[in-house]
Amino acid sequence: MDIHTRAPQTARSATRWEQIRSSKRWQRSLRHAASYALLLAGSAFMLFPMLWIISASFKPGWQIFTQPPIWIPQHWEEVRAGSTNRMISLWQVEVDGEPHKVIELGVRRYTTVIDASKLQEVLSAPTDQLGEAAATDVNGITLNVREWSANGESSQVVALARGDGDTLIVADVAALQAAAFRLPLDEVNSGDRAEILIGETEFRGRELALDGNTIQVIPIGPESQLTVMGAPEIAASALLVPAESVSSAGFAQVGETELPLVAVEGLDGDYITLVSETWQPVIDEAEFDEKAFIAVRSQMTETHPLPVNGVVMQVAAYTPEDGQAIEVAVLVSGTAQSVVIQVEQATTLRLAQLGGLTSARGDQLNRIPYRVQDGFSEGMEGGETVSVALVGDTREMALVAPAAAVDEAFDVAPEAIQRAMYTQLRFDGYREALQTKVGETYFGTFFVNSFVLVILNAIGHVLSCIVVAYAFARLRAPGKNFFFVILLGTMMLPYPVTLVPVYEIFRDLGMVNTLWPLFLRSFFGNAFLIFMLRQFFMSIPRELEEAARIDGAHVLQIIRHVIVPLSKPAIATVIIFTFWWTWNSFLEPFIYLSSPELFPVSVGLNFFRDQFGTIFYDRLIAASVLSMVPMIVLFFFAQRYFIEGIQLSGLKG
Amino acid sequence: MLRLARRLNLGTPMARREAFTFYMLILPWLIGFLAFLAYPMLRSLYLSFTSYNLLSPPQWIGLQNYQRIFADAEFWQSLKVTFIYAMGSVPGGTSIALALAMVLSQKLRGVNFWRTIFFIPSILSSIAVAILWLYVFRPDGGLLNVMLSWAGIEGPDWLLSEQWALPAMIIMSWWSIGGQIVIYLAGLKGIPEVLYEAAEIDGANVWAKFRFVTLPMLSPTIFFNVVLAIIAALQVFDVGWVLTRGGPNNATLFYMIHLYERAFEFVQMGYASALAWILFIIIMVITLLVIRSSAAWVYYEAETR
Repeated sequence: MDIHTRAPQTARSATRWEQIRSSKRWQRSLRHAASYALLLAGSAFMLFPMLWIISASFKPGWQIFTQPPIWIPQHWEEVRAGSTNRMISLWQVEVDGEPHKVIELGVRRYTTVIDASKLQEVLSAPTDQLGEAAATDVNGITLNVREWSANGESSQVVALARGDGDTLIVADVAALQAAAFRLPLDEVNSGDRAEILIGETEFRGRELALDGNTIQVIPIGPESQLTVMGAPEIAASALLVPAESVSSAGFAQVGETELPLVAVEGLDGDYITLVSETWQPVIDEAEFDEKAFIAVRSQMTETHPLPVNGVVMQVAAYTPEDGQAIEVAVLVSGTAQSVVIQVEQATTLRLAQLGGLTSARGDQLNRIPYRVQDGFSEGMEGGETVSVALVGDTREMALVAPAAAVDEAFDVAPEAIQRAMYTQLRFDGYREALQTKVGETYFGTFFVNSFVLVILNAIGHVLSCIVVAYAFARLRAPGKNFFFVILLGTMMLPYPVTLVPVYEIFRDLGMVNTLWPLFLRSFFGNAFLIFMLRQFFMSIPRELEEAARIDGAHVLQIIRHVIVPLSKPAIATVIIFTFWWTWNSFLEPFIYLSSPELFPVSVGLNFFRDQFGTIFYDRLIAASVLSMVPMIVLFFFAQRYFIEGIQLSGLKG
Repeated sequence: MLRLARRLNLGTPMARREAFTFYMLILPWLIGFLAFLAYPMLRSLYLSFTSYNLLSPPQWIGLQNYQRIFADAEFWQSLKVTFIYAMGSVPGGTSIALALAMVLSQKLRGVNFWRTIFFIPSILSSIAVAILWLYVFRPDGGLLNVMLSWAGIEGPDWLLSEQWALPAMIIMSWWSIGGQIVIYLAGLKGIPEVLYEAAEIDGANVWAKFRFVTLPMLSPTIFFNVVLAIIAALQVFDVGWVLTRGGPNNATLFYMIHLYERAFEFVQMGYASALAWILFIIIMVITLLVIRSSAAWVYYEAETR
């Protein structure tokens, strides 16, 4: 019964399936799915690099090539160190599964030691029977474990010392477990040296006082480095002191870790060092230009270091030829002369982090060279920026915080630390790109040059192409077809063949390193644009010109008053194509121009890349994104003309 | 005078005036053509037989430039590189453009949106595009190798490696095919729907419709654009110059980079002119060959010609 009823049903469903498969709807949806898949793949290929580079242009330099990539621009979370302009990075760590934001307080190095009294037995193993040492975690303690295979048996051992001949003194991992623990390396090294006997082997170890007991330990490694972390609030009490006034002062136990303490000259109590780095005295360029002056060495006394506006500078007494001695600070010293400033007038003298002064440009006062950093900001995001002159000598400075401010600290393995970040678009790349001098020129000049060329070329093309195209579209003359074929032929002509002689012509005209070679030829028409306009003009009915012609209008008047008003879309296309070609042309301006102040954007960008491309990714990326903006804007406003012009250029088959 | 006029078929004074106006109007183009194309071409042909450094007058040296060129390994290397580039970028780019245009030509939603996405890369300046890809191809942290690493592939050094620099540039050239997509899309729209309907009645499937309707009808457009693309690929300069300067070890020494260096770095204008004429002849020969062979695969509708 069952069999009978089922069999026809299966047969029917099979045909039904075939029907579905052969049905139009099924085929169409299959085709659509495939189409969209292809479209998505294609647009991913087209869009992904674009979006990536646009995103990169809003990142600070270090974020662009990270592994794994940071897709969306991020910014470090920072806290201000005391009243200085130094920002200290926040780090993201996980403690007992809880995320914490902390600052770095120092590092500790740890090593594995064994308590000699708890290890009874050591063995001697020939090195050829031992495998490579591998740092292995054994019940929470890191040990350099090796494989020891002998007589077909193998065991896990740790080498403790070198033995006689080609042997190592080893101990079984199981035997070591009870005896091994981790200690800070500095603590181990602070113990007295001791000769320790285990069995018959003598080891070099240390004698330590631990929890009131004296024990003998043997350091066996591996060493590891842990970062000591503390609460961000500690940074608020930070002070900036000269590095040489800081000296080591032992350790203080905080929680489960120890803090390396320092003593600071002239300050009471214990401190910890947050950062130690080079700082650079700077002074506002405006003040420098206004108040600094040249002093001859012979009119100055010997210099001595003295704080000026809180910055230690070389100070001397300066007696001008007909005046009283004044106290001056040396800003830049030359061979026979120095640039100095009167001590009371140096109101903007201050220290700046050297790290923020990476792109200083050279300048000079009376042949004494010095460096100026443009766009210097005092640490805070979005703050005002000034140009500052780099003066005096760099100094090693330390940011210290009182140890009393630390009530909690813990140590974390370096791999467990990540910078604390939040999403933020940064315009630094753009700002710096616009403020970086390329040659002697700012980037904005390249844009001006490009726009000038675009305008001149557009005028040239519009004026010349319209009349030529009209002639080819409307007028009859012997030889017209011949010239039209030549016109079409020139479109396909490879440009290299005329490159050298045309350069020669412009050189003879004295136009090399001017903008002339880059727009003059537009006034003689362009084959493609002439062809395009001719096609358009031919679609305008002749009758529209008849009335004007009967009135005795001149051909130029007909063009001006009849043809041009009817051809606005075609003329727009001419202008847009001219914009496109001019903006993107590279080889010709590259050949003709040598002065950066004449460069258009394309050449300027290449120049920028040559100069800074491997150092300032962020700026170059921002600059190239900027260079794309006019084209993209133009495209969105005039997409129709682009598409129509392109179709015309390619549909002549 | 009158006889000449009659021979030139300038019968009526009006016709004569019209011809005069015609020549007056095309005069700017004619001058430009003579001064900046015809004369330079002949001049460069002449210079190719001379030794010329722009400072002293050209010295006739006969075929020496050509002899030296053909004996120069760098010339052959640049020719090889340029041909490999053309052979990679043109067929690849054409296929991708054609495939995407075919997809877009179906009645899908948002054709303009997709077309815009595909078109934008091709309007950007080759320098900005080259810089963009410079970073995409960066061996460590560059977009491409990051994405390859997701698939467990350790990407090559791309532009820094002799083996991969040229393929990298070929891949890059496929990015700027928006213009071709637009052209093919317009070409596809021009194919009458009746042909597809007829094919369907004959029981043609998707592939058969593509093979026997789309491809023949589109072949003139494809042909024309392939010719243009080959000519453009043989003259490529910007990309190679910005990305690698022809390196590493001449692995991307495009013909035009070689020519540029000879002309404007070594100031061997005669030598460079000879290089330019060799390229000119190569391009002419290729164009003629393609046109000759086109009869075999390009389908022209009788009534439109």
